[in-house]
Amino acid sequence: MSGGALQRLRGLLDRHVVGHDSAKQALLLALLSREHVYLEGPPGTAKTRMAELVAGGSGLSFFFYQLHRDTRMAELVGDVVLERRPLDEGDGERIAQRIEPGGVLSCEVCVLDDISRAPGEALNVLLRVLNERRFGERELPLMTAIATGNPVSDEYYNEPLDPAHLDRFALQLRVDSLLQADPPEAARALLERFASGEVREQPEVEPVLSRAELASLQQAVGEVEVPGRVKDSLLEILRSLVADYGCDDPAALLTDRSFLVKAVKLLRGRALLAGRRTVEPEDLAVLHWMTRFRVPEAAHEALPELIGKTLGKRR
Amino acid sequence: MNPLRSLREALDERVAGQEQAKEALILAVLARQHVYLEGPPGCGKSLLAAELAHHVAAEAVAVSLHRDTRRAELLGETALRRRRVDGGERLSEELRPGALLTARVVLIDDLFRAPPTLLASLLRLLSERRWEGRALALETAVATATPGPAVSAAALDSLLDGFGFQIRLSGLVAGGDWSAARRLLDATAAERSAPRWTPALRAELQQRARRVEIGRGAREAWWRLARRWPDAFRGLSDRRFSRVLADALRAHAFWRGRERADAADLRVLRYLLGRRLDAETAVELERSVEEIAGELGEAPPAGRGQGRAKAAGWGGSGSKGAEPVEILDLALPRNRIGPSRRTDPVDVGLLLRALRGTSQRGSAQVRDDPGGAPRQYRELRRLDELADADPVDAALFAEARLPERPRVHRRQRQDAAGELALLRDVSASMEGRLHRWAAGLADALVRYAARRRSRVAYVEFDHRARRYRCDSRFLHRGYARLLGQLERAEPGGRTNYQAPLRAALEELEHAPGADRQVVMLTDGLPVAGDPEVLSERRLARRLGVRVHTVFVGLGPCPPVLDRLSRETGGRGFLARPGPGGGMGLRERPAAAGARA
Ligand SMILES: Nc1ncnc2c1ncn2[C@@H]1O[C@H](COP(=O)(O)OP(=O)(O)O)[C@@H](O)[C@H]1O
Ligand SMILES: [Mg+2]
Repeated sequence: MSGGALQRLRGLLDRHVVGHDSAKQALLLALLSREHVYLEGPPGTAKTRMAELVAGGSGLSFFFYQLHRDTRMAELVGDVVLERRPLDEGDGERIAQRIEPGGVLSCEVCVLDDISRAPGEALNVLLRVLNERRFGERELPLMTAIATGNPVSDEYYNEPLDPAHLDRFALQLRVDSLLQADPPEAARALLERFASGEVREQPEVEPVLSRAELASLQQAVGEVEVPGRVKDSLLEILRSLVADYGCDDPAALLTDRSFLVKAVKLLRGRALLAGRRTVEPEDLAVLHWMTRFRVPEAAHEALPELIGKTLGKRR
Repeated sequence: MNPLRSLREALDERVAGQEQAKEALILAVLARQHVYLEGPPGCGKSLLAAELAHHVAAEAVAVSLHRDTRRAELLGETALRRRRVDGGERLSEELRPGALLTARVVLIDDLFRAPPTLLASLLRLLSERRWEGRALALETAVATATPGPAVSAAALDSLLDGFGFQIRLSGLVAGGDWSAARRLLDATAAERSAPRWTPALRAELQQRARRVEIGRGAREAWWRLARRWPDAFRGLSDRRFSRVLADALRAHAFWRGRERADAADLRVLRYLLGRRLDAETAVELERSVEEIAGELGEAPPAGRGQGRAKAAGWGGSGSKGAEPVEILDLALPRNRIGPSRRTDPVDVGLLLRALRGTSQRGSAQVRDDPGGAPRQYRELRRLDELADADPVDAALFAEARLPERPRVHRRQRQDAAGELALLRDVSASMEGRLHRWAAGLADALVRYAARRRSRVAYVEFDHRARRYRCDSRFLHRGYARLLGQLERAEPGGRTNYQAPLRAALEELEHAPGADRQVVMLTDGLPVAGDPEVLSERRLARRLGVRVHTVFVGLGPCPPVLDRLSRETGGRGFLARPGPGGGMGLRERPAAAGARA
């Protein structure tokens, strides 16, 4: 198995971006398990940069799009053209409007920068396409969509994202400023990085892994074993979220799709990232990368402790 | 002659004073950073920007923003292209790249004049420096603005993050720069001299500036300053703290003729932080740089550093009244808005009409929106709009028999409008039927706000006020959560008018927008706080916030409520048992009194 391939991708991220360990891990995990990921944070915290690095470094075909207020579906899926042709028989004409597929329809990794800026309508369609991974008759080669967004600090300039939209991203994390972070070491490292002049930022990133390597890794994810006791613990944690943290509302986003199907995939991915072929209870930590915008803030914050407690009881 | 000095002198030819702005602009060109210049009208911001662009020989574009600026004016118009293809014909669209996509230097006048949503995407474009995957030629954008809009400091920081340099200027007179003022009086209208730089020279200087090393002393000082001045640094994103500051240090050292940046070069921080620093802090920060340079054995540069960080009235905000106000969070879950479960039908038409009536004077805006309702026709701009075109036009167009483009529906939607703060009395006297009525009124108001997408704030009060937040915001669109809270409120305590009014007005004071209203629901006489709410009445008038009052119950309505509504242009109502025993709402004439 080419675990080294992931190391290389991680190395690329570490070379260019200081700190943000969870976000980096989540990005690798997303790629490995073919899931989508959403990063939210204040401007200038390297969200876009990390997304670019993963997209470029993975050697896959990628599409980068910066969303804005007037984003139209057509810009995301290709070009609209109109064709007029004489009919084969008789003297009529046929006029057809069609889309020349491009954008999200033809890429393997897409980076959707700043989704919080897009108008609801376009976003709606876009996210549905991402979720279903098909557009009309067409199946998309898409593996992973990486979206970034800003927290809405003022609605005068931004519209808040519908939490239901965010459910399309299996992984969802917040990226915080290193400068404001409590142990200041990371900010110091950041300073040194740019003072040293080592990092020259070029828009083009060289691929560090091959398509075949990635494909075999993705396949290996499916073969990782998930022991029954880990599944039991997962259910117990979900039960506690529902019973003790008010996540029982039908509109709360503890959906079966996310927490019974995708979660298992992510557990496997995390085990593989750690170089294992079997999921261990500690892998349940991935849940914390799933709940940010799905459950009430208090429940999200309490989750690591809840996981710890559940595992402790089982021991 | 040294090209840097020569450029500096060229700027002096037609602009007197504003030393800091001149230096900042030159450094920004060297470091390829964007600059935000904030200052009162007529202090030379735009002139300075134009002079700079001319003398550094950049292909510059000037855009003046206004209320109706369209995206296409900045990015370029789309054109339709007809092409013959084997046996048929093909129609496709292409963008003719506009100003922003091709220029090297962009001068943006009056940044905050642009419609907010366009502004947000313009700023994004500047900071990402790329469009549809293509890197822009853009090196430096200089934006001028009179002081920014009334949004929170954090929101402004985040909005302006794309500007590496952010400074504030004042006029020569207001800033007390009398020698420059004298020079301006003496000035004869000078012709602009020939550009001092060539494009090749500019590129070379930029490259050399980038090669400057950042010494150990500079790094250490950089870090110590950040630790010593956490508040000043709070306005910096990681990007500005690291990459931008590094490039600014290099440019600054280069500008001083050095190949290595040292501690003293951290002076350049004033150009990164200038917008946010008050005069005193700016001076102290500068002193701190010198101190640290001394500690590290790196003397401050001679001749410079006499930084006159003059700033016009940027006084601290007034101290807040010590009112008993508590801050709570609205409970989850964030479910959708269900149908009203109220059993007492409450006829609130009169109240809603009052809100609507006033809001039409306000800023309710209609904006283009592809999901909106068709309101009129306009010309087709993009091929994918064909589906929305007038059918006859579309057919003629497709057959190439229509000389111009077909008409399509112009779809528009009422923009989210207004802010509504709801103050609800839950004191002990509000029980039984009165409590239900108040709940019903509140429920109807929140649903009304939800339909209009107005932001809401909610304060519950007895002798204390409780402000409820939704995701740490007081003004929010968490209607469903708020409706949940309305159900949960429990009566108890006595009545205080001042605390809730103060709490709400303080929120609205920081909310932009022209349509801000308060509805206060109460049944009691105030026994705590100022019963005449004098300073709150004054504040509401100053802010232009209309305060509507609804007195629920059988007793006489306290006259202060009439005064409150009358003075602020709001309306007053009485909620009393109606003919059928349900709630009846009528207007209190005393509140309507002598309204303008
Ligand atoms: N942790 C970090 N490590 C390295 N560079 C960083 C970091 N944080 C910010 N930067 C710098 O800031 C730039 C802007 O980051 P970007 O990805 O555009 O932020 P975002 O998308 O979060 O707004 C990066 O390209 C890099 O130069
Ligand atoms: Mg970004």
